[in-house]
Amino acid sequence: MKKYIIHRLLQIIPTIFLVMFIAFMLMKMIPGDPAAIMLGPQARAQDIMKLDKELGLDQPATIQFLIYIKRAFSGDLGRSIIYGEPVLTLLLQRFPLTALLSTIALLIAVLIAVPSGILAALRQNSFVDYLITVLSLTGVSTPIFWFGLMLIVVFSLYLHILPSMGIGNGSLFDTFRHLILPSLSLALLSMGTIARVTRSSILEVLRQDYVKTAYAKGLKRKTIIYRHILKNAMVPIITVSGLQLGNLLAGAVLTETIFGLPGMGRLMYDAILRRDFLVVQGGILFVAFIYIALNFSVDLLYAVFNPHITSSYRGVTK
Amino acid sequence: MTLNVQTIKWDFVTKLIHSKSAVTGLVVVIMLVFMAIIAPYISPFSSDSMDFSSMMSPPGVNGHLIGTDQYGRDIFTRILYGSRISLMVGIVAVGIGASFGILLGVIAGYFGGVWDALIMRVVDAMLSFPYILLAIAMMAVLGPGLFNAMLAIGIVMTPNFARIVRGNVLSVKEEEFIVASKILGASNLRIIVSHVLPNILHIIIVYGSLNFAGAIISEATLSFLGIGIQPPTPSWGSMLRDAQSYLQVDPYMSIFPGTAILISSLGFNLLGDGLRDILDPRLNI
Repeated sequence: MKKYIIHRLLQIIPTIFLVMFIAFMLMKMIPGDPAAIMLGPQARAQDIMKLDKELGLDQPATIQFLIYIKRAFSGDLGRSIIYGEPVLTLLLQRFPLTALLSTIALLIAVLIAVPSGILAALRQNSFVDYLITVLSLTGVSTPIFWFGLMLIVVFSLYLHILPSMGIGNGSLFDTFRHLILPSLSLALLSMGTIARVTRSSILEVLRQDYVKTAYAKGLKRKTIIYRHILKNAMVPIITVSGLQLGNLLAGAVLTETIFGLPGMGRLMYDAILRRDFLVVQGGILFVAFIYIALNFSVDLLYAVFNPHITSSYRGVTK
Repeated sequence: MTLNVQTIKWDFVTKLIHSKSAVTGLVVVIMLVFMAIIAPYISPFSSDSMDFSSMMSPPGVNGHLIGTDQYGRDIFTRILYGSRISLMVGIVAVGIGASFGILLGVIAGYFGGVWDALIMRVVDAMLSFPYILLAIAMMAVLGPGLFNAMLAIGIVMTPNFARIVRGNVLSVKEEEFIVASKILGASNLRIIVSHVLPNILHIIIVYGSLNFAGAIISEATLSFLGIGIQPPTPSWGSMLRDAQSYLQVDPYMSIFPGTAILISSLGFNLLGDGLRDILDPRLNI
């Protein structure tokens, strides 16, 4: 197990550097002088030069990249032009709300999608299976921002039962009430995918010999489903659900914008519109790092569930 | 031999006709293409003519089939023209993503070694960014516009294509007929072009169709955020952006463009799903 963890960590290192390289290159893709664009057309020449120096733009590109890596590792992602505060501080301030929103959305998605997927697989080729398959494909095909707008029309404007803007007065109950519609619309992003993966991984397990054996032994259907089928099908389901959290964090840019929530997504959206590039760059690097961490944890879980993976690292001599 | 190929073709057609999802998807896609082509001939108004006597009117008023927007522009007409943008973005973005993805995937899978390690690390790194976020960030630095949107979506699609192509090239490479043609002295390029690519073509078609749906939604998302297609060009995403401000007054403005996005991407998803079941049910994409 220890060897496996070390091996995976070593694999992650080049990925981390390449992710930082991509984030760095993003700034290089800006047509023209980034400092001039960020400061706007009315900026004074000396301010642009000062920012150029602060961003290290007066250095050659390789040096710039090294500086960027060094700063990023010490937690310095630059300073926001709009807010005048360090990017990391801004991100960390707004991250909890986004994390809460994404987690609730993931819970909703899993609670709806996993049982549906199981049901569809156990009744393969029935009407229920067909219905669930079509519904999950429809979920995958629906733009979540539009689904969010439709939820507002129905539940806020027509039925008047749920709020559509902001996070309320700060009480726990009110916060959750304000998060219902945003997390529902965000959940749609993952629901179809999780349902489809659940269905196909259960079908895969159903084809295995040990399931046939269990049936042949005359075990109760319930026992077979719980002990043999679900337990073995869970690994890919957990993997996909875990990785979906990364997508949900990204999807928060949309939901937070529509529902006026002051999270990380909204911060990045404002930064994009006002060309506050360092916040955009820092934001996507932040999300990518979370995604890498999620990926790593999912792999470890995978290894715990499936000893085959770690056993190949134990070596030949004992 | 000819008979054999004919039989395979017939087999495919028969299966296609019997696949509900493939047929439904195909019908939707054909209708969408048809709609885009004949938009100027069947639309009752021009896409940017404003009718100030009926602004934000509900469906059916003054000959506006599904109502008008805040400038009195006919929503039906704008949806018709919007299909052109969606299709164009889909074709170009999937074209970019598939071409680069196939190139990288074939190099990594076929030649292996350093190339494989190098390409796959870059692919892994790109996949560490959530798809839509990378596209949004690229648009933020490139600036809005049709061309940049197609480019950004295409680039973001590339690593997924590369990974799928690589995986399948790896398994095709071990097939006996490829080993045989290697022994017969065929060049790598010849083997790739005449043996490897034809054998992964079906995967590219399936994946291309599914990604087409993704491209339509991505373009709509970018335009909705105001960093994609810019007004007055009618795009479904930017129509929803306008509609958001008038949600309370005129919900019709938001219902129809969203439905158009849903139906078209559902069409491509159904087509891709159906084709996968016909061509290779074990395919896990």
